[in-house]
Amino acid sequence: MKVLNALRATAAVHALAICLQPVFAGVYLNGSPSGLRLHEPIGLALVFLGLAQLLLATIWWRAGGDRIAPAVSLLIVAGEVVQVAMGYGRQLAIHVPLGIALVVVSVAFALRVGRRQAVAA
Amino acid sequence: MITLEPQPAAKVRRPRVSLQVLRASLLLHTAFVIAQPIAAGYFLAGNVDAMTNVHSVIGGTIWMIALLQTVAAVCYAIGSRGRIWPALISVVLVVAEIVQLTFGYLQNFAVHVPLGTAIVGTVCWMTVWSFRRTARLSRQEAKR
Repeated sequence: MKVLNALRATAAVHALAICLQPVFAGVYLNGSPSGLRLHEPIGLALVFLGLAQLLLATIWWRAGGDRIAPAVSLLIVAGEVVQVAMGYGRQLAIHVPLGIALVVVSVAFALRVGRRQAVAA
Repeated sequence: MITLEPQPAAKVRRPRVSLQVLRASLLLHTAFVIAQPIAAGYFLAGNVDAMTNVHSVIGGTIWMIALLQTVAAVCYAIGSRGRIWPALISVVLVVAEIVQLTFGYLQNFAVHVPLGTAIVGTVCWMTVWSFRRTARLSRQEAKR
């Protein structure tokens, strides 16, 4: 139960942080460099949050939880590593659609984990 | 002597055709909304044609697909007694896509980019929901 709550909290913070990314990208595209100054550290922090989410999802799965959770978390972390690389490489043809896909998957994951019942074990 | 014969179960009216139409319009909508960030990414990478030939053309027509989806969702809710919220969210999507189009032409990206992300997320979520078993249930069955 503690692991599931920790996973819920991490997934919620991760989802909220990733929702800020298109806002700051939009602010930067409007011509304000402060948008990029916030977009960059949040992007890097998201990779670490994604790793924490993967760790917690794996522990929860081993304790009898959903096996989809670590699989989706791994997909999110892999996507975020590629996303950071594409962002620094200015490969925006990949960075923009992959970013939107990551937002959608992360929010869906947080909602799914938030609605899961704790395993009686 | 009165004999009680078992009554046949009352036939529950469930959405069928309207659900198929809703699914088809959602799939079409999803294909178009997913194409938008791809085209925007190509434009930001330096391909101007991706904006003039793809992103702005799809952006100018996508609200009509949302309108088609709204009609399908209203038929699903009223004609087939399915749930009401897909019709309400479809109306919100029509408004959001017109707002999105306006902010795109105004080049106000602080609204255009996050609103676009929210639209993609909502349409994808509705599409996934429409293919789940729960979408086949009538309003009354879903309440239970």
